Amino acid sequence: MSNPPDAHANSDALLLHRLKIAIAVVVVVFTLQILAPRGVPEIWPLTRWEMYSFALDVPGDIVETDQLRVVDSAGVQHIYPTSILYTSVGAPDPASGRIIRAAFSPDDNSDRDAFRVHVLDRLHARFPDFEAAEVQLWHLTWHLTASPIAQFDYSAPDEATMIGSFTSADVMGGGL
Amino acid sequence: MTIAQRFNTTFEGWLTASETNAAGRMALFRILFGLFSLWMISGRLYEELGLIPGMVFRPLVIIRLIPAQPAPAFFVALELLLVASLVLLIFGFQTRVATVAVLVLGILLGAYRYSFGKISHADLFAAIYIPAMFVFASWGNCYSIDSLLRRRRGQPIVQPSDSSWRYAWPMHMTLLLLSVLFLGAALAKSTRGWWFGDTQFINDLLRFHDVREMLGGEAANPLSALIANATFLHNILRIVPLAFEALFFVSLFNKKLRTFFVSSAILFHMFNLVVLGIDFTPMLITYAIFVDWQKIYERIWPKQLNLGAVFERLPSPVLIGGVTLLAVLAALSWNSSLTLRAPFQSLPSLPFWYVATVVCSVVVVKTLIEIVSDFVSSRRTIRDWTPDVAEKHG
Repeated sequence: MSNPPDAHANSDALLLHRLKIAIAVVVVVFTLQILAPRGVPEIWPLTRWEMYSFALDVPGDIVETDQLRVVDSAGVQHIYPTSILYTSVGAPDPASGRIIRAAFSPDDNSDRDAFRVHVLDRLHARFPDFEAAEVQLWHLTWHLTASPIAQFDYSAPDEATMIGSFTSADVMGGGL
Repeated sequence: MTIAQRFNTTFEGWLTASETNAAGRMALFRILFGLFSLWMISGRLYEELGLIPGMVFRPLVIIRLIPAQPAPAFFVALELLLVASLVLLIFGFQTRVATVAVLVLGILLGAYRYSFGKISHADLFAAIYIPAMFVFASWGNCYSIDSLLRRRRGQPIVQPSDSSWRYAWPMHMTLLLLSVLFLGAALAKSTRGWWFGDTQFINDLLRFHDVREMLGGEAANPLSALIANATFLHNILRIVPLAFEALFFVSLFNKKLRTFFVSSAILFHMFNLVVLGIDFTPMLITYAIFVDWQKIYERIWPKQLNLGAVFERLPSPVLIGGVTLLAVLAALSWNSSLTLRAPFQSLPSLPFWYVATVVCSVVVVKTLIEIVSDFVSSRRTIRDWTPDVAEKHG
């Protein structure tokens, strides 16, 4: 059973008409997004590609970062950047670092304990091969030499300060 | 004929242009798209979207009316539905329904993924734009259970060699979207002042990315020192990417230019990956829509390995039940130890980039030679077409 030729021609004409309308709408919306001034949020999933059209927040003479050091139950230390907690949030995301900072907040309260449980859960989900016994947060600093290119040894920071640590026994033993 | 009418006619001609093997190549693209999407989602644990503490939850506009962050089980359910839909898409069973599901799930999961402070643009085509186009287009008419069942019902079948624009228009639409986005990128760079106005911009760019890479435990760009000390390279690095973005729309004009610019786009992304550490792997599948997979299939697929013949032998209820069961099992096992996820998860992306770079480099050079040669011969034809010759030709 096949459609008569007229039916094909009509459906093609209708498809073409609808496509033209869809293309016009998409092109207008994309163009408006492109022309929008800075600060106007992108209406995802419509997008605009404007990478590197603004000044960059370039690191100067000092480079700083937080680092997570996890000691497992066998005493082995594992080192991770603080973006390690989540796999699903796309590009290196500040969410993970903010949660880790909250888990090491100087305020001793129930929120902080909940963040600590969350960090342990996520580490277990990401790295099921070992049990985290202790989690430490370090702040690392490198002093860069005057050079157009950034040169530093990630494994040898000029300054390394431990912001805090907690053990899984402390967190789980706290009735959480 | 008015200018508007002339534009309309030209535009319709462009949109409805036929493409060799359109039906077959789009069907094979559907299979590749399904496999590629499984690969892309295999590294993500969607459950965590329901676990991330609310302090960093900043919902995008499209989900702002939903009052609360859903529970982890909600995201696991979406993830499993996505896996099942992709398996159905690969086999081409209930293709339209599966495509709608992939689109809706892509939007929902994407909206939550990007509601924690950072929006990535790398997977918009793969997760949303491509399935959105194929909700209205046909990519299930060949190499699919649907086409086999239709044939058994006595309905007309589509040959892979069918070159109708009905199968080809998503290619044209994708090219148009890429052109608008690349042109917008060039416009933003050239009008906001930094790209050309700041003499340190290229060094700053390299420094910014080198620091980011090194803080992530990766190596810095080995070319940074060379580039930093060569001013002429700064100028090349400013002009070439901008020219590529600004001129990409030229690819709309003919197929050789399309081949040239699409292949160049892969090299452009590879350059960004190597020099700036910007990974646009999800974009690879977008450019794959322009490849004639049917031609490649006919040339390299062993004739003895006729998967279609295997499906032909099975009765319809077995086919339908088998594929449905396979989709359900794939989804249910996705998060278990006996899983479809593991082989996808273990695939590294760099080898794909290396292969794509080698192939595209050859294609860029070959196409450029052809374009120049066509241009030279067209000039020669015009020059030789003197009034005398014209008279002789009558």
